[in-house]
Amino acid sequence: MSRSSVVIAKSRPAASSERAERRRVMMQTEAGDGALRAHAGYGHVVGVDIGASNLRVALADMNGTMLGKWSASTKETSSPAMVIEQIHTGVQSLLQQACVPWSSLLAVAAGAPGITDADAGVVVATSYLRGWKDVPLQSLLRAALRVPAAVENDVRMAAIGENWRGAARGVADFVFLAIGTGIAAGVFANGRLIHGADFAAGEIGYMHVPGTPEEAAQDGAPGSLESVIGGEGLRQQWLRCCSESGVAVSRGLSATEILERARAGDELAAGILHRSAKILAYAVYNVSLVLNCKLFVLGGGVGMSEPLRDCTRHFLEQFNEPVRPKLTISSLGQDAQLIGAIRLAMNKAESRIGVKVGG
Amino acid sequence: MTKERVLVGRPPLLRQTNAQILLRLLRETGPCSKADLVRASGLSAPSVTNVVAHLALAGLVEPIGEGDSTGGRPPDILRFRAERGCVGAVEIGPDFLRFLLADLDGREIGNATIPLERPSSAPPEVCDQISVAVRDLLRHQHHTEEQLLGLVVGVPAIVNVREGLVRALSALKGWTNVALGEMLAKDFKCPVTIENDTNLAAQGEYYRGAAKGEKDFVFITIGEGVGAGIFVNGSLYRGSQWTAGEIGYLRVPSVSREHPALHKYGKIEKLLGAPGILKSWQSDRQRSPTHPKVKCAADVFDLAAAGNAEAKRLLRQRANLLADIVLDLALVLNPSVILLGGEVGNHPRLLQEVEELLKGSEYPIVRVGLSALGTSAVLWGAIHTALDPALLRLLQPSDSLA
Repeated sequence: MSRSSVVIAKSRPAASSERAERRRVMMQTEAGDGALRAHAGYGHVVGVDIGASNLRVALADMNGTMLGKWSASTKETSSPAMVIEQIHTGVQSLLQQACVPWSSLLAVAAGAPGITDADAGVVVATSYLRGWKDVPLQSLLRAALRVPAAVENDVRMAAIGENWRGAARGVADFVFLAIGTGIAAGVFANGRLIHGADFAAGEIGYMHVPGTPEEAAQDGAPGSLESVIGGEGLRQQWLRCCSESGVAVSRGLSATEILERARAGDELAAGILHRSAKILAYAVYNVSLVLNCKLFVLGGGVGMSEPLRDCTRHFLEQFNEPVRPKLTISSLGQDAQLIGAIRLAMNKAESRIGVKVGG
Repeated sequence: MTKERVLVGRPPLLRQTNAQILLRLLRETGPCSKADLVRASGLSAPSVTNVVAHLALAGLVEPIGEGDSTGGRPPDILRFRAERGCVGAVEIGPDFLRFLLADLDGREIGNATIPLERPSSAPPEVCDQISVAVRDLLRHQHHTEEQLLGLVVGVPAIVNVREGLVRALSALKGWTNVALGEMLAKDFKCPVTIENDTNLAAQGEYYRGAAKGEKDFVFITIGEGVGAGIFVNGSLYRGSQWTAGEIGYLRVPSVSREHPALHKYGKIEKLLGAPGILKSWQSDRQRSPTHPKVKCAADVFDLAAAGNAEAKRLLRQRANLLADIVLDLALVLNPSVILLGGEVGNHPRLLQEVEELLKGSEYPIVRVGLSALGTSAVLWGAIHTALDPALLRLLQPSDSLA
């Protein structure tokens, strides 16, 4: 059921001044749905992806076409004030490169790796960035860049990206499953993101499925699901297997490399892949039952691994249940969050100028 | 992204929107004057006069005399005519049919319960029983059939709500892919809506039960079967094929640990539901005949509360299972509260046990509570589902003189 119809009751003068504003926005052709659209060059938006180790900033026009990307490390400089300063530097450099005046900037949106109150614009808590607790990111961005700002959790941001231009384009119900160091889900239901009562929906790292460790995790330690499927969990298993079997093979492998080895025929790695894939299959199956969701888009360093996807698919088929969710790898990859941030910034700009932007 | 269609506020639509606002005010605050409505709604005095005339024409408001004067002419006091019509709720249970009739303010007018004979409960018979019973109830309460403005039917099955299609109802014979909405529409002049019973129970708790004001919550029912009704952003979430909340098939560790063979059959529902609990108890009884006899699953939990060791063990086992389900739901949906209802779910001892188990979990605990409406949750959910569309129809120009 669509709840997107909006009734606007406005007085005549208000409506006419709005019409004038719309005329000022150089209109492009109507895109079939009768909605006015802003010209690609009417203004610009900035998308920001704040990661545990990297900060990425992108500039886009009102078609959502990326005009430039900028990145910096957040390893040493991760306090909110420093990150905001870096974003400012990044935006300035991107605008200069693209010969776009600051006045052309209409909005900014940023994704942050933690519990984020998207309504209040506050990053409530994150274990990935030091000193980030109840950070009013939205107002900090607005003050620094002098444009309207929006913030969102990074995994949900990636889900927005996939829904707009990625593997879930136009799909109203799907789950974006980010598997990197941790595991989290960005859920679209009826075409809208699910946030939950405390903006913690989709934090499935603690989920219990058959085969996950049953002792409660220590405070701050990864949850049961994370400890088996997360990148760090995979590496730990690999190290354990290596020392148990007395094989002195490459101990410094990344999670993705371990999974690739499994495909190449390495038995130790294959054991780890099987265990992780089976548990991932359980998690996917449970989430799909609760939400009645058919499409799962896998993203993140570990999630993008093809051997993991194939093996998980295999287990889902073996379950032989009526519910058989479809697994697909993110088509936007690393850029999913950045592209989601651009879309969210465009939405913000859209509500500011009163017409639709981009397709 | 969804495409948003922006409707321009043309006069009839505006009037309808404003009419809904004034009706809500009148329903919430009780009888008041036009001036009160102007103050409370923020609409202009001429607009309020215009809309009140529209509402009076639709038979939804009437003047009930003069109020106290504050200096000038005493104001006319208006009231909402809740008796203008009524809405009906039907619950199809495994062996019963329940009915509830309410006025347009959601106040009960009458109710009835009749038994359902399992063998003869094919869809046409049940439809006949429903239409006879609803007409009886209307007549009893001195209402005409024309006054019935909407009927909502709750079914213990997966329902395609848009098409009024019941997918599969395992408790009754011959109930696979039944176009129940279409069948009942032939018997009634008003719109008929079919909905899953657990979803209706969640609606009931949201409108007048333990989930009032909660925009994100889950209602878990454990009775003959197990299911969940999910509220997201203040409305029911049904999933892409109407099966959201089918938690009876979840795969959780405590099942695979204690009942490794069960996954072959697919359902933890068989364990957690009332029949599963009774079955476990009976098989225990065969081994040790000193076990007290029980009539229903809740009796086993009562025995546990009274200190029976075997019953306590069984309760602990079921609570483990339920705690895993609660945790899964909490992680995926982050609801503000998870309510337990149904014959088994509504038992306070089960809640207590689950709460204790969740305290040991590493995840921040979700609030778990009991259903406030108990066995009437489904019917009240149905009434509230019927109310808004019924009022809206009365406000539409073509129906306003009906």
